[in-house]
Amino acid sequence: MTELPIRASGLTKTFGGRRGDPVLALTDLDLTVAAGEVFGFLGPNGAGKTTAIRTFLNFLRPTRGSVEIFGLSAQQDSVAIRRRVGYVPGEFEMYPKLTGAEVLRYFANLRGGVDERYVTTLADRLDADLGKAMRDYSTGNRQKICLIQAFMSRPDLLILDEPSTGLDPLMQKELQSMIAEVRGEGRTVFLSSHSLTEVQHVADRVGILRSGRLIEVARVAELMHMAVRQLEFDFAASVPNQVFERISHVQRVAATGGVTRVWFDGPIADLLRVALEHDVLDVRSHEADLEEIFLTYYRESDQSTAAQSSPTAHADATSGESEPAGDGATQGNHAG
Amino acid sequence: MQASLLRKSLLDRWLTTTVSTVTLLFLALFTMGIYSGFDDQVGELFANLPDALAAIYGVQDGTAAGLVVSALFAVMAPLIILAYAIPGASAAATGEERSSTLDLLLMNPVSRIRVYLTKTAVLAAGIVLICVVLWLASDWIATAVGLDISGQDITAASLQLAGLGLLFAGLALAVGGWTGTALGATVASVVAAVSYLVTTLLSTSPALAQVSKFTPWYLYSGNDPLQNGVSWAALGATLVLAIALGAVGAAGLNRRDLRG
Repeated sequence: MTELPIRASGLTKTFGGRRGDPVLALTDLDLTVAAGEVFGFLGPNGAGKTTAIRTFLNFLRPTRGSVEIFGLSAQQDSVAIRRRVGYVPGEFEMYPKLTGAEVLRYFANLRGGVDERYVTTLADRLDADLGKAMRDYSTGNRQKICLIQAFMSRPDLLILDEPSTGLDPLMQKELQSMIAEVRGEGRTVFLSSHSLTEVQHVADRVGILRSGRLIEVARVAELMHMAVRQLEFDFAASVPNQVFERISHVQRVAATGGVTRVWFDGPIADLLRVALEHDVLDVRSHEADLEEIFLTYYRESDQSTAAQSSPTAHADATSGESEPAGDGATQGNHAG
Repeated sequence: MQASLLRKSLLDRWLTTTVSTVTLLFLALFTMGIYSGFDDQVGELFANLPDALAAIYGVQDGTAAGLVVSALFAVMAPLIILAYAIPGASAAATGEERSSTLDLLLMNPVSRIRVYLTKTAVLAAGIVLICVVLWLASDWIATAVGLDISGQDITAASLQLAGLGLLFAGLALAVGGWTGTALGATVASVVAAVSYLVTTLLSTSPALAQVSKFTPWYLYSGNDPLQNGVSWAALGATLVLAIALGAVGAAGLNRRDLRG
């Protein structure tokens, strides 16, 4: 398979414009997704993820630019493309009077070539009850039916927009396994989410979308290296924050008595050298995750647009940490 | 696989089609049953109504048979047909979109135009079916209740009634196809009501009668099909307009963004 599953070039989408100012939902998106990879598409609500996906699938017409799916034009060859693509929308409804089984049978007949035994297997894996009318399903169970319809034809490309919505942790784990299996079979997954943990565990690469612009595409391992990490030292006596704030790549320091926490995003050597100049009783390392790097991007964005009104408070909010008042938390120099 | 879409579209419409057909049959039976007991003096009473009122009631001649058939095809049958056709067309153009089921449907190898055409074809078949049933049943009911309708061209009126339904369905499709909203049903309903009033009322005024010829309703009733048979020109123009409006709706649907 030589064609790229997804290739977007200069993709731009504007809404409105006849009355009032047009809204630029997507700006010059250039993106390629390779065969056999899981690509995480990250961004907060309103960043343009769903707009991008719905343009890939020809539900929205691009204002400018183009999309090719497996080398086919998204606009001209949409029917041929759909034979090879499975999709879970971020928001959807299903026919309320039909049962889950009837909905799946309808879609299977429209698509053709669906193995009923595989549908049963998927239903078992997701613990989905197919016998109820759609109107009687909970959000999570409705999501399971939607996942089954996307996976059941074993498509070459799966486009999943917030696929774990409403699923309990066990089912989220199962979904991750299913995604990993798809990748194992050489098929491709485009996974849009604001649940960074979900993407972190299954994606090979991630793209981060902010206000309609793709601001970063990197391998997950690279992002992890760039992520803000945290070391927690127990000192025999309290150490002033300024000792660590002077070190390159230190982002923030918080001290409570003899316990000092240091957030940094670069080499660890200088930090350890300075720490060992004091009486270190213990040291703990906290695993970095994509949440940190993702939020860092947004912190930078907010700081550039919100006149840097309250950097300390913002850093606390975006780091995901809850700091007690008056514990001496301060901003370090941002050398990253 | 297209058969599945057709089957689902038929299933979606069967209940409304059945209810509309039965309602129309009931109305035909009820009105014919009542009017069959009237003598021609009652007919003359209606025939002596002021022109404007007579036009609104669809009174065509002074016989009881003429009165009942005229009333049925002037008011009741068009009302039922339009109540079936206009919301049905709105649903065909935008129903899945408005109920947020379209994204998942279109993820199967079927185009938005295929969905539109299939649903529109099912609706058109429903309109024709209802008119055919009305046509056949009118004869049967008239015979059963002893009403002499031999002087009435039920076939012509039924044919042009189907044209009327298709025409306003086309209007709802055209507006719905471009807007993706229920506006098509609103526009078609308003146009139908206004054109009915304009056609019936203005036709009674010698000075304004010419104006009434420029409404969609005139294509249905202008030549008085019950008395004069089918106007093939009017029926042809109706069908051409209906198809053209349907094509306009398809072009709009094909061009615009779909709501998720």
